[in-house]
Amino acid sequence: MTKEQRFTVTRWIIFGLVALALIIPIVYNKYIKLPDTSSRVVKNIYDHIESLPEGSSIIMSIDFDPSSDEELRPMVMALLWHAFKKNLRVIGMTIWDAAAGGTLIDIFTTVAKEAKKQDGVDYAIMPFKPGSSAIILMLSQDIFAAYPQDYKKAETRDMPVFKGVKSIRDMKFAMCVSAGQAVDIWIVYGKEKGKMPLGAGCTGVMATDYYPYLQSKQLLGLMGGLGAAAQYEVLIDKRGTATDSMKPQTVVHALIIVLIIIGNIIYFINRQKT
Amino acid sequence: MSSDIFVWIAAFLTIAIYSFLYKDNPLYKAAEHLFVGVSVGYSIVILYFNVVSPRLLVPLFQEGDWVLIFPALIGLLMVSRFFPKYDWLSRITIAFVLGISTGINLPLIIQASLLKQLQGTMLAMTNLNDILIVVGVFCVMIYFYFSSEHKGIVNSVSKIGILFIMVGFGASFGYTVMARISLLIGRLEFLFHDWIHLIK
Repeated sequence: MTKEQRFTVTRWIIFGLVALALIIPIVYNKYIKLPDTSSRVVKNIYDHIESLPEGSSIIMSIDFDPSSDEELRPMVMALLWHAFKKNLRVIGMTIWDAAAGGTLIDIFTTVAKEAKKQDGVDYAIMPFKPGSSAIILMLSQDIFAAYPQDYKKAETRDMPVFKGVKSIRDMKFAMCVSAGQAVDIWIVYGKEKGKMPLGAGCTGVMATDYYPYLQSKQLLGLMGGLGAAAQYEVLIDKRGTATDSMKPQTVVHALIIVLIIIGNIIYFINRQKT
Repeated sequence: MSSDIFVWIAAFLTIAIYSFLYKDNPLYKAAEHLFVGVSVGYSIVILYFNVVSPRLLVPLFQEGDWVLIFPALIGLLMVSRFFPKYDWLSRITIAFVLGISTGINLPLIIQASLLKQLQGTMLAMTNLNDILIVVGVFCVMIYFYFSSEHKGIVNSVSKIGILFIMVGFGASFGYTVMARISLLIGRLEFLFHDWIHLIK
């Protein structure tokens, strides 16, 4: 067998093992139990929302498209459910054009329906506007100049959900859940100008980029990927898709650790031979 | 199995994309091109109905807000890129955007990304975390210091810096695995749940 053939066979063995490590836990999900844990950075967000008095206004920027839906939707749904359960007033917005259609509206209306919340009274959804940083700068000065109308073209000034709110400075919390640069934009423009506590949610790939902002206290908390969403579901005691998905995830992680160890052993043996 | 035609289309496209695992093939290419085309088309529609129409066309032609002609013209100058003889006109638009963004961005970015980050590393070192942060930042900075040869103490410190960088890479790798597997789980759940109804 040539080196190339060995590589192809090894590749297919790894694909097969990963497929099995995923499919078996997905099919037999209910038989797998994972311990309930939550990290400090995720719990910070939970604790902050928990500490807010009823009727407080918060803003959520949903900046991802369907390609990151699997990772970020459970996160937003858990956060939104928690906010609604605490009777907070939630403003939903996006600075990402691809999130404007399905993602933002679908998540808000789904969770609001389940939590029996009313559009315009308990929550409001803003339409997409271009110029991400300019929009957030406008929000820090006058929210009605940035969004005179919601996505249904209703006047925002008349909505009870905006009562006592003029800008994001009046918000008790801002949360940006993003699969792109939106968190950076919120840190630079939203946090600096708005001064409100800011939390971030992002895909797993991006998570390590934002840890320095926790140290500098520019971020109150950070939710990275599906793992963080599952932790939040545990905190609010509403286990959903993230908790279920962490079971196959854990099995695959264990498999990858074993494969890394085997790969390293083979590497050192080959090095000694040569 | 699902009786919804859209579920079948989504399942077919999912399998087409994963067929790349075998090798690059026309089915994968077709799905990839379809994805790019649909994404661009979707963005154009969103931008037209959320921006061009309500922010430019309606105010300009229905409400008589003629001032909007100036930003519209500045924007239209970008189209000159398609005509080599007049493509210099697009520089006016680029200069306008660059000038404004630099003016707005510079003070805020320096404040948020430089000064606040520096402040975050100026710690009293009263606990292990603070010590790790200060030592880590110092050693990694030395690793990226190329103005003198890495010999002696500089070499030793930069090697400690490499350890910190490796820990960072390890964390990134772990998160990346989680992210990619999450997407795969999502697709498998769709196939098993929504498409073939293997799981309830």
